[in-house]
Amino acid sequence: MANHVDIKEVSGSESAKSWKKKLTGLMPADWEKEIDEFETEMFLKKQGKIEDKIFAETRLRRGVYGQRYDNGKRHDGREDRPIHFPCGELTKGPATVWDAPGMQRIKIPWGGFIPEQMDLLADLAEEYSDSICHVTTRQDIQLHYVHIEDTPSLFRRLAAVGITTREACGNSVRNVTACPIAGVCNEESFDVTPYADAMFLYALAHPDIQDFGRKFKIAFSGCKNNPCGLVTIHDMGYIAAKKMVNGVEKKGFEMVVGGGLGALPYQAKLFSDFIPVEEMLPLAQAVWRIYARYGEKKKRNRSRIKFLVADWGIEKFRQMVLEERAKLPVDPRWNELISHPEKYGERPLKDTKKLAAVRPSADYKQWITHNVSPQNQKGYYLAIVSLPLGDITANQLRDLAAIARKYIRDTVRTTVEQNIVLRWVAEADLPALYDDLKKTDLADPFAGTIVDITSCPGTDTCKLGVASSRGLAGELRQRLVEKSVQMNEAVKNLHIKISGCFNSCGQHHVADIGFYGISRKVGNYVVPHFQLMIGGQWTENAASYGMAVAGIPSKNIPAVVDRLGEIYVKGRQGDEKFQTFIQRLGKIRLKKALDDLTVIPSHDENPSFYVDWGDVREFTTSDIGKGECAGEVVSLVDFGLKSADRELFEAIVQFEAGNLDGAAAQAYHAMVTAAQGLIKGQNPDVSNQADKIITEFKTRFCDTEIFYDRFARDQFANYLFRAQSEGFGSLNKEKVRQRIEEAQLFIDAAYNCHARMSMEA
Amino acid sequence: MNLQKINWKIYFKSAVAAKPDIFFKVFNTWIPDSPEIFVDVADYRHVHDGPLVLLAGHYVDYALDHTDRRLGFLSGQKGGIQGDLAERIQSSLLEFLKAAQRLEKDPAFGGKLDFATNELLFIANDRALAPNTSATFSEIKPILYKILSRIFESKELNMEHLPNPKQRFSVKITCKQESDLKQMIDRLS
Ligand code: SF4
Repeated sequence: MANHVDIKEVSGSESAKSWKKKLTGLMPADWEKEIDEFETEMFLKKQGKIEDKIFAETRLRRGVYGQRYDNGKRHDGREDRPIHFPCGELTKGPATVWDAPGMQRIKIPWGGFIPEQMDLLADLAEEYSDSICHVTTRQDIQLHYVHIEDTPSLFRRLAAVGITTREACGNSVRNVTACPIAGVCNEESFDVTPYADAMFLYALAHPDIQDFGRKFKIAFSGCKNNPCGLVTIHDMGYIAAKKMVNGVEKKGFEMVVGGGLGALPYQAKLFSDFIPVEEMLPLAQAVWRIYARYGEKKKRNRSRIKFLVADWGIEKFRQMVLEERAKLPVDPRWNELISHPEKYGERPLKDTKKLAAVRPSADYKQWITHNVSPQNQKGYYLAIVSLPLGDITANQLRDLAAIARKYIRDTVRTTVEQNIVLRWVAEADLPALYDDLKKTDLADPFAGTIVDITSCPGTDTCKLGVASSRGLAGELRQRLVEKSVQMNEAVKNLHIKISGCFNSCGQHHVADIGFYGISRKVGNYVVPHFQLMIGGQWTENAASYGMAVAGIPSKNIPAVVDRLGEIYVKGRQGDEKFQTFIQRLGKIRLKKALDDLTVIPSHDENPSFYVDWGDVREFTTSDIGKGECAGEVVSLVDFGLKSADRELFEAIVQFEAGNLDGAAAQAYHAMVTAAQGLIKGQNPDVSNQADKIITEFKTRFCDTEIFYDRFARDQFANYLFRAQSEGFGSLNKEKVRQRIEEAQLFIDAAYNCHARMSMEA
Repeated sequence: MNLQKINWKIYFKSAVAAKPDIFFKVFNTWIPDSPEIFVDVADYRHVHDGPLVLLAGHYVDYALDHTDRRLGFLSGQKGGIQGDLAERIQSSLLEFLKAAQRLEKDPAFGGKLDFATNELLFIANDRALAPNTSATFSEIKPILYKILSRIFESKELNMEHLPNPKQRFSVKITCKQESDLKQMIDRLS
């Protein structure tokens, strides 16, 4: 048999086997099954039995992401040098070397995690990464330099504490984000946490999100005015609202759709000014189905839903969604998932007590001013732990978990500003909390200030990065910290956000001062630059986007930030906001005021301009690779056929273990899955029941002869029909072996059929 | 125990010459100029109680490291080491000492990088295979003792198991006298 393999190798190293053994049964069964399947797919990929494109999308949907230099080359400032990974030709995606370390994205729905999970993340960072956990601008946690062989153990350990990485990347519904202060905020209509969690649970592995052309991001906000949820930059967003209906106050949402940043930023459009909470999931499902059906699949740069909404106009889009909604069969989960919002209610660990009189230090006062704010619940406070560049070391995260246990129990959340919020701190505990945070260097008093810079990974680890956003953010942070004591309050309250390229993962459009990485050619050199974006509106859920002003050499950016601060302080009228001031000043005058800082000295005069922040190599853009942001578009048919391959492999494993009935059933099921995969190309709503699938397969592929082989005619289809009639009990060894071989031929025929159909299309 | 993930750390007598920006430059030169497979250098100077500058490699990472608030040079073996447990521990240590010696000799530090060779930290970076228990210590201690008594020539070698259950299995190794790195390498080779 072609698939004869040594099954002992599937579970990898002794360490991986040990985790598998230890954690079996200690996680949800479907998560466990998916991880086992992923492990098998890794094994099959190594055997050359899965295409690069399909495996890439498979791993992306598990959050296993490529990292810079994963094509096996790195520019050393003089030339491209190969990195001689021992895997040789083996790849884990198009132009992505198997052994190259990668990034692991870990979904943290609505940013909520608990000390047990924080401890585990710290452990994983030490054992599989570089002892650093990175908080992203979408409330995820990322680990870097992870070897793909370690990922099954990493998934199992996460799953055992209730975290999945499923759909953390890839063309799918990504992490569902929400205000990190939901439930304790003074201004919210109601706590959006239960609804954000319902959305996460509903979307997870939902059949209607498996055929998207690109990623899909959802955010929740408790109010319209504040920026915590950044709803309008999302594919779909929900702002909590209440409405009187027949004299009864109803909870619901203002729903927006079609927003997004990237090279072409779009503000989300109003879908409805009020949908009752009961309509949240059905409408989301209808939107997904419309997007999967009509969204662009071939041109990646037009595939986000924002383009579909823009092309159709919101009225047509709304009408299509409502028509789809009307046709949806009722799903009991629509209501089940939102039926117990009280489950998400939080209890404080400590009773409130008035703060005893203390003589605060200047640092403590700063921390209270910028990092602490009162909750809606009297006597309790939120304390923001400001993380430089979103990074926290394993030991610090463990210390923070211990601090959480001591003061608040489990009410911790990540934020889109790459920080962590401790909720429910009793007023009397604030000085002691500050002391404990200070001991572990987590009491930087800069939350929400100009020092608290948001940055994407940029050239540090991202394959698409043009310039070093983290290098620049680190440099600016250090300089601004030194100046912060003397800094004018108006300047201190500005926000800076930096992206390594126009894709805008650092959200540079929604900052007072935004930058994104570009390059400029000067003679024989390429010089790192950042495009300056000014006037983005951070408040009102990111209500308007900044505009480009000028391309500035990277090494002049600190001077630009200083200059902008000076111009603002000098020219500001009364309490004038930065955006208003910039509008009054006008872009032309502003650009003129910065003109001298756009000049690049010659290489002889100042070679440092030709080296980026956080680097020592002469700058180059030759390291830029192909992004994996949303992977390749892999059709439902591709996925179905790949699952059939895996199931057949599992049949072989059972056969070799002597489980003949199990092997016969699994081989039959592999054929059914392949048939279902083919049908999905024509009917995404195909049933999951074997008999119904086979009937539909007959009608669509046999009666029409589409499946028939030129020479063998209906021979392969008959293998499936015979297996259906024979069943899978009490077949002898010879028969089971034959069933497996026939299943292999059937799946091969399904691949051929798909290839023929694709060529004809 | 097929432990592959083995970390070693050695401290500096003085932090004066152990400047992160120099490590950053030096590690960058190691990427193209080493037989080992190195991938990238990461700058973590903005965080505390962890790595400050990290040279990420395929088989081994090196770092200027400030974990537990003590500045030192750290290696993290990730896999691919041959032999039984004793051989793996020994070869990871030998490779680590050679890397430390390479740093010591690098002109960028001006001959001022000063390792405190009377102390080492051993970390088993695998909680599945080496849980932080006294049973693990009983298994690893004789192996460590045999190797370390060679490099320290048994000069009152002391091994202390650090039993914090949240942390990885770690052993603090001290001896009364210092040796230079070359001697330590020679004794182990
Ligand atoms: S903005 Fe560009 S550089 Fe930054 S993470 Fe996104 S794709 Fe990468």
